[in-house]
Amino acid sequence: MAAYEDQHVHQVYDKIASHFSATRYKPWPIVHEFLTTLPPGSVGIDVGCGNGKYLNINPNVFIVGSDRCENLVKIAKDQAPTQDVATADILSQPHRPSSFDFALSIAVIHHLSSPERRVEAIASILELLKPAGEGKALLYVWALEQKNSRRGWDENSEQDVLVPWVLTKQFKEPSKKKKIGDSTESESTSGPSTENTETSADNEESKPFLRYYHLYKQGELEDNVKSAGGNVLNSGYEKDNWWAIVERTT
Amino acid sequence: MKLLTANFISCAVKACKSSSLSFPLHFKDAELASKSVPYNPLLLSNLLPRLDWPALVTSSKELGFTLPDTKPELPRLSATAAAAATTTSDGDMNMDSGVGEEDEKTLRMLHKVLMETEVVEGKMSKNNL
Repeated sequence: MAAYEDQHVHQVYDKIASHFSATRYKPWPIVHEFLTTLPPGSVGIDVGCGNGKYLNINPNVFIVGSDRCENLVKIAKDQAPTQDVATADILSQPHRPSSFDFALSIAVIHHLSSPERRVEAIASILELLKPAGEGKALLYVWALEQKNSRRGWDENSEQDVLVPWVLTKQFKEPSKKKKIGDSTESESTSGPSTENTETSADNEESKPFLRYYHLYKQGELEDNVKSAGGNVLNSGYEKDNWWAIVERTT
Repeated sequence: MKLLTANFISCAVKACKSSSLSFPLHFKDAELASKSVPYNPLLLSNLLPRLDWPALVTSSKELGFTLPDTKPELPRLSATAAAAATTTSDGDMNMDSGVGEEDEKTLRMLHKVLMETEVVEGKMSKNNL
């Protein structure tokens, strides 16, 4: 499981970090509201912080962001000088239990490749929060039900999928450049499910990077939270994602 | 890594978390740098109650700073007081009118130690042998 995620999540993000980061700059409204309504001086973690786009939303809270992808951590560190960033795995976080006022984990839990690991990931976030009433976490996962997105998945689609990411020319490593005279230009094999930021306009490599996702069904995130020993305070659907605000039960 | 962060870092190994040795971790061969960031007394004064002060004193000592043995008593600034404050061209929050001279000195010291001191190289371990 861990080896599979290493190949289909970690290695992919390390390769696509700059391009991925360039497409991730708009804060999602519910995340923005969660962060801006925190009391001043709150201390939190952003587990899977990516390029750090949520670290600077509220300058009056302190956030330690972490990500499994070292290249994204470097980008985040440069972007957020008043916060801190670390390279860490969601299942073994180097943090003091019961010490955080809040936690974020946006678009991360869906990258774990079994139900047990997803529940364990949520539990590992919950244990870092202060007790019920004092600490809360906002979790976001990709939804299976997104009929109107360009992916077009619905409740009958396969939940465990590999989603392609095609690097555009400017983000490719120079060493990967096609040799002069090599004329094999192939279209992306990613088909209709390619996000519009993931175009194959200049596709020098025929193989896109494949990222593993578990697409969440309605109610599944809440079930996972309960299995992890958490309590759901609020939850909903926003733009192709399921979200939940959760706390510990004790 | 900021010195502030060390106050929230423990051993990552699950089996160690319950051990008193897992926090605070001890610095070894630390190389320091000072990194200027905007001064934010609203954040600092409300952060202070959340700190494990004895652990901070220990970490600071390992890096060559001396902090008072007991946590300083500071008024917690409110968001409304901060809203009335001006911001300097460096992004510093200017709260001269709202904070006494002694408190201001303490806040500036905390800012320097917690927010501007970066450990750029080094190790953290469970024992300081």
